[in-house]
Amino acid sequence: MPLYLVGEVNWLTSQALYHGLPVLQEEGVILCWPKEPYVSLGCHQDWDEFDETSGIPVVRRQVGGSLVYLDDQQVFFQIIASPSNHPSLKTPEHWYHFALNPVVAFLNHLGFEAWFKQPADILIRDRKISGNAGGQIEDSAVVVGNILLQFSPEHMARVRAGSPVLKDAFAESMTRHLVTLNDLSSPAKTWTREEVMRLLAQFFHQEMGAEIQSSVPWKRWRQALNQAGQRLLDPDWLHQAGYRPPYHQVKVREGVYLRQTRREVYRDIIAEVNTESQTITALWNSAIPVSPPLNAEEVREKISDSSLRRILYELLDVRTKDLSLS
Amino acid sequence: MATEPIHRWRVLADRFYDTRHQWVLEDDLLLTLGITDYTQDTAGDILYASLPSPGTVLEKGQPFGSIESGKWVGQLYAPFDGVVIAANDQVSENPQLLNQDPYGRGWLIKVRPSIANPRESLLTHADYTRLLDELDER
Repeated sequence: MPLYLVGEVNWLTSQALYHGLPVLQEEGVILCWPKEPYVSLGCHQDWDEFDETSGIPVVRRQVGGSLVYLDDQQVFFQIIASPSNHPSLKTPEHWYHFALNPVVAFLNHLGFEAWFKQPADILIRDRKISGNAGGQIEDSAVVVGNILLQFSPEHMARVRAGSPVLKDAFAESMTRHLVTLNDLSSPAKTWTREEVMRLLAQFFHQEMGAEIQSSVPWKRWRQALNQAGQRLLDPDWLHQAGYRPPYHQVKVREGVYLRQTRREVYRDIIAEVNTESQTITALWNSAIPVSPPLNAEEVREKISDSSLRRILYELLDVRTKDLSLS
Repeated sequence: MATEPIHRWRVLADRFYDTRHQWVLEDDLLLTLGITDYTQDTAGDILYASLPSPGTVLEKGQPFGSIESGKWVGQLYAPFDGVVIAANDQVSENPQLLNQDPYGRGWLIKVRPSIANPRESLLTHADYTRLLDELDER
C-alpha cells in the first residue's frame, strides 16, 4: 500500500483526500494536517449539535463518530484499503486494529504505554491521545484518526452547541480525559508536525508494509478530490438531522460522556457518566449535597427527591423497572 | 446428499441474497430488503440506521442508506432499480432490532422494482451459503 507524506493542506482537502481515493479505487495511507481550524461532523450526527455562531468552517464526513474540532496541531492519518486485498479483515474491529496498530507502535516507541480502547480510541494513562472513526466509502474500508500534538478544550467546547455551563463542563472534562504529545513530553521538547508525520510513516511501513512515496500525485487526484469536497459541503448532506439519544449527550472519550436531560425538570444538571462502570463521575449545576462518584445504587440510597433520582437513572441508562430502584 | 454449512451465520431458505450481505424477500408486487445475520454479527451493536423516505428512487449498485456501529459506518446498496414504498420506522427508532431480528422485525425497506425480474441478479440461499463458507474459510 502506498504511503503519501502529504503534509499541510487546506481544511477541505484534509477531508476530501480519504473520500476521493475510494472513488479512484486507490489504496493508500495519507499523513497530513489542515492549515486552518474547522469542525468535522460524524456521518449520522445531528446538525443541531454544531454551534453555528462559532463561525468556523464545517464539513460532514462519511465515516462515523461525533463532532470534532480539528486544527494544525493534530497530525491526521487516513487509511484507505480495498477489502478484497485484505480478506482476513471482516469486522470494524479487525479494520481498526489493522489501521491503528502502527499508531500504537509509534507511541510505544516514544516510551508511552499506549493502548487501543474499543471501538476506536488510543489512550495513554486512561486519557485519549487519538480519536478515530471508520466506515465503508465506495468499495473501500476507511479508517481515519489523528494524533494530538496540542489541544485546546476551550476551542472544542466553543463549537459544540449547548449552554455556557455545558461548554465549561465539556472543557473541564476534556482537560481531565485528553492528553497530547506535548503534555507527555519534557518541557524542553515540542513536537513538530513534520517530525510526527515522518515517525508515523516509519511505523506504517514497519507494521503494515506501507511503501513511502517520494511525491503526491496531485494531478491524478485533483478532479476526484474537488468532487469529493463539493459533496461534503452539499447543504442537504451537511444539514442533516441525525442520531438523537433520549438525553443531550457530548462524548469526551470512549466510555465517558456528558449528559443533560431533555425533560423540563432538572434540565440544568450536567452529569459526566462513565458508561462502563455505570457511574456518575462529576456533576455540574446540582444542588444535591452528595459528591460523585455515584452509581445507581448510591443514587437510590442518597437522593431522596424521586424526580431527581429518575433523571439521574435516565442519564445512567438504568431501567428503574428492572432494578426496582425507583 | 446435503452438506451442512461450515459458517456460523443464519441463512433462510425463503429469500434471495446479494454479495453485499443483504436479503430480498418477495411479497407479491413488492420486495422487502434487509441485512443478513452476517452483517449484523460482523458490525457489532448497531446504534443508528439511516433509511430512505418512501418515494426515493433506487439505482442498482448505489447506496440507499447506512448503518453505524462503534463509529463505523456501513453502506446499504440497492440490489436493483426500484422505488421505495415503505421504510421501517421501528428500525430507525430502535436500530438494535437489526441485531436482534435481522430477518424479521429488522427489515429495512419495501421496494417496487422497476425491472421485470430482479431475482436474476440475486443469489439463492444455497449460493449465499457457499459465499459465507468461503468467507469463514479465509
